[in-house]
Amino acid sequence: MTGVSLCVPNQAEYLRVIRQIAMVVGAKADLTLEALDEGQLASDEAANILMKFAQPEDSLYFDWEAQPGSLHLRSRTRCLLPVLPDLPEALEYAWVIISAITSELDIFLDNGEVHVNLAVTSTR
Amino acid sequence: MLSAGAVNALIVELRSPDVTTSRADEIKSEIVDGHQGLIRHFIRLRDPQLYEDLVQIGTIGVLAAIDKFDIGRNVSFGTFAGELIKGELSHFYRDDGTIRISRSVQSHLGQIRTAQDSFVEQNNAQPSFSELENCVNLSRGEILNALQANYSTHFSSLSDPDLHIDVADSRNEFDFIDEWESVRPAIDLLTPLDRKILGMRFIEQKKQGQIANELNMNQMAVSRRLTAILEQLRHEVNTE
Repeated sequence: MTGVSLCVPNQAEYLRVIRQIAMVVGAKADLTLEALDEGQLASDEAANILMKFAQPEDSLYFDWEAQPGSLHLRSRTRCLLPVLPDLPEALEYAWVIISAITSELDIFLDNGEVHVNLAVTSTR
Repeated sequence: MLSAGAVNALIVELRSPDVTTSRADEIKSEIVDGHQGLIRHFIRLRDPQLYEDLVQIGTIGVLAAIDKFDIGRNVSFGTFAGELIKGELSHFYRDDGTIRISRSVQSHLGQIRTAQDSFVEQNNAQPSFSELENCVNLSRGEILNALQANYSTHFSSLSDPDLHIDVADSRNEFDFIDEWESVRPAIDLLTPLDRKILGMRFIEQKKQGQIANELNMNQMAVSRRLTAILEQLRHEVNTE
């Protein structure tokens, strides 16, 4: 098994758990230490983006998967907005950061849920 | 921040035998409020999750300075208070068990850092996790625990040599980036080194290994600094 799924309440104290899972799955993917670090950071930023669009009582869903040399995350929550705003403008510096550390990034609204899917890849 | 003359006048009034208890409290509050910027200056490198606690500890330093300050000496209250704030913060970091890394984890981190540096020197590339595992006599769990401690323990000692690398002030690098507007006050509070690291990673788009190489640091030290910087920026956004 190379994947881990997690569902947590929309509360910042669960960010630590999210980072730790990202690190363990990243190690399974045989990432470099730098990519491990960025996998944690990207997962953390994804969670923060979901929290920005979720209602306080909603849950956040995460699925990590280890592939050789890359960590993939699919995450989602129910979105409080009918349409997503312009993301670079809405997310500001968080957009700059998550764009810089991910090799794949897709944020979209589907059936009332906001999805943040991303990948972090080791570069040698 | 209060001027040196204003602080001296307040301290003279505070030490007057005629001062009432309520006026003494007012004076202390005024001096403490007037030195919040100084307190924030000394806690700027530390964990945002402890921010309120650290402000309280810094306040203890200012109150101690009010008691001990010698107006006759040729030193400003701000300078004197700064030393006591630093002392209180160092004392807290020495005594507070929640941020201590055990000796064994420190030893594991040392092994990982040495193995990583040797690998980079020999192969001119960062090791993958399994390559690192082969270079150290540690279990996967021990390596993960040590790395977790490295990322979560980014409390920089005031005497951390990494913080005294001579870099030019990179404040202006962020002037043209609109996306950083909400965190500009936090960026202004960063050290020149931290601003430099932030700019190299997210403006120049350099990898941590490259930054480490250019600044003569270890990749894990760069990672630790970036974690601290980004948490500080997020704290700024969340407290807006």
